[in-house]
Amino acid sequence: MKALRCKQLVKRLSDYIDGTLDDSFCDHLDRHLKDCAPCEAFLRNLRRTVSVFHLQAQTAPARTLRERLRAKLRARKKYK
Amino acid sequence: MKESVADLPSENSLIAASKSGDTDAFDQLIRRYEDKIFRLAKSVCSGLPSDAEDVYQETFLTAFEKIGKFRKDSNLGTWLYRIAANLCWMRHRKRKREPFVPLLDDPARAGRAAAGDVKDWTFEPDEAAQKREIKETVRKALQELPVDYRLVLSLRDIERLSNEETATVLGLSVAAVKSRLHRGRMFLRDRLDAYMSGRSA
Repeated sequence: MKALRCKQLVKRLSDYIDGTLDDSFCDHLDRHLKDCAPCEAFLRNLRRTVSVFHLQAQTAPARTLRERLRAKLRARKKYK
Repeated sequence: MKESVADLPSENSLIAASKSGDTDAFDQLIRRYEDKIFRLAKSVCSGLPSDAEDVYQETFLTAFEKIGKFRKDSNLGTWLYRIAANLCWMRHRKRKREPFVPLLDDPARAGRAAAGDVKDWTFEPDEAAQKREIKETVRKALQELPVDYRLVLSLRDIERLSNEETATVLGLSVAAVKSRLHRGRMFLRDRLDAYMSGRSA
């Protein structure tokens, strides 16, 4: 019975992380997580996934690429 | 003297000036958004750096061409993200069929949490080489996902748009955004698991 509950709750973990769960379901999940170490670990890993994904994506266009874009725009008829 | 925020021209005035051909105004708009558009393009065109650079450039070239049609009641960021998303879609449509996404939120697999088979991620990457390995793992994982999943993940978790904003950019329902987001995160979690729990070391 507990396993079935875990499976159903895992589906809602993104909503839980994002704070988009309704209050009663959120309370229900809070109570479950207090008693279920694997679900709690799973939640921690999913939160880490979101932050790792965010951090590894930080980048900016190189100066040469920025300049190439400006050069192309200048070459357009309207861009005098 | 350094420009303070109060001295910066409003976005609306820059859009109005761009519509009448003021190139300096359009350049200021580019400066406000180019890092965001480039990040999105890099993430969605994962593993294809020249595609990402093309999407970045094409987004602003297209925006400049179409700025005359930009409606006052629209949001410029949303509009630019939409142009970039369409360019990503067009590129990938040309390339190949979309991969199939494994159903990681399928209870049979997600239920591993219930079976106690969940390792805490104790690994804290601190060296450049480790960070590169994580980047590589994410890059490979993204390549396995269809473009609309990559777009949802990137807009939500990299650009930090809301579910509603992401739905507006992509022309999807909020429910579809939430479902793709969760499945995408579960997929990434699965692909990062071996490395982050130290099992692949």
